[in-house]
Amino acid sequence: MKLCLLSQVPSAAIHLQYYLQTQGLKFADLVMVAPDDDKSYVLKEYASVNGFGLHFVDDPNGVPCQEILKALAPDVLAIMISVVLRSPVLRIPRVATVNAHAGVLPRYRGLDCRRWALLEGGPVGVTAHLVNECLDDGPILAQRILEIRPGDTVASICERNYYTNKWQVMAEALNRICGGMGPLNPQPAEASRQYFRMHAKLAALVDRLLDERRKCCHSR
Amino acid sequence: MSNRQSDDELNRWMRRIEIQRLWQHLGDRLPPAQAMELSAAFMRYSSSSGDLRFLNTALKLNDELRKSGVDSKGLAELEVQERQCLRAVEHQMGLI
Repeated sequence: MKLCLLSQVPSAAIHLQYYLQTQGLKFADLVMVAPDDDKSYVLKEYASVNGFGLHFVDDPNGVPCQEILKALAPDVLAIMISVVLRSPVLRIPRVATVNAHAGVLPRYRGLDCRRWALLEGGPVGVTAHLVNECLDDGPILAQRILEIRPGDTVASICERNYYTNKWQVMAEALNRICGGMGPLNPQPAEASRQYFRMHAKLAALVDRLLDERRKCCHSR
Repeated sequence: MSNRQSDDELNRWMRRIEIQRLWQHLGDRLPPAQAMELSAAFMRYSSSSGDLRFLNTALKLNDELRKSGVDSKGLAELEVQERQCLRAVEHQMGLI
């Protein structure tokens, strides 16, 4: 199974590739949605040492990106981008396109899902899902919920979700696809909500909530 | 726009405003008077349903309405409604 990664963030691409290699998986190619400039030398060195192809594009939905992906002919395309992919790109991978969304689906689709979950008292976590043309909407492949600790801040929650959930969930999803995927169900529309960028006044309430919990934790 | 707007219609407006960032286009693609009515309706709906996404969109509209300097009486009413909504959220979260 040929795996490729389409990513916007060089460090995240390195983290994911590194973690996957510890799980017996590897991206054959990495397509970066970023300029090929001085900042990409670390990525180039990492690609050279670890033996994967490296490509740079401006627009993940653009024709140059489509041509590169067609030439690479991936079975599975993993994505880490903040752009909704259009059908010409989604049709290229032979088996599937997979995203690891930093929220618990189907409830938390869209933006700022960790903060929204904290505001509503809902679960924080990561969900890997098949990608279709709708936002965070495809069948769920793998999911992990993050335990919120008494001393947590939004930053510590985001960091732990990133390092202990995101790559693990993506690896679980890719392993599941490589193993034949199994039965998949569409996300139940009635349980699904799309969230948008949280206003600073609501974000401040989330920060206060975590501050209060931290104070309670320290005063015990 | 009446108080009896259907949930679906309000939901469609909220999504449209967020996806198209209409608060950035007050007076152009969204007349301020309509923005005020929508904001008030969003805050009422958020209070009755507990769906804070509507309050979130109202807060964005309110910020731009303050900047635009429109109808000070209407804006003052929105300010009161906004404070009440935020206070209710603080209460629900156990912050007050």
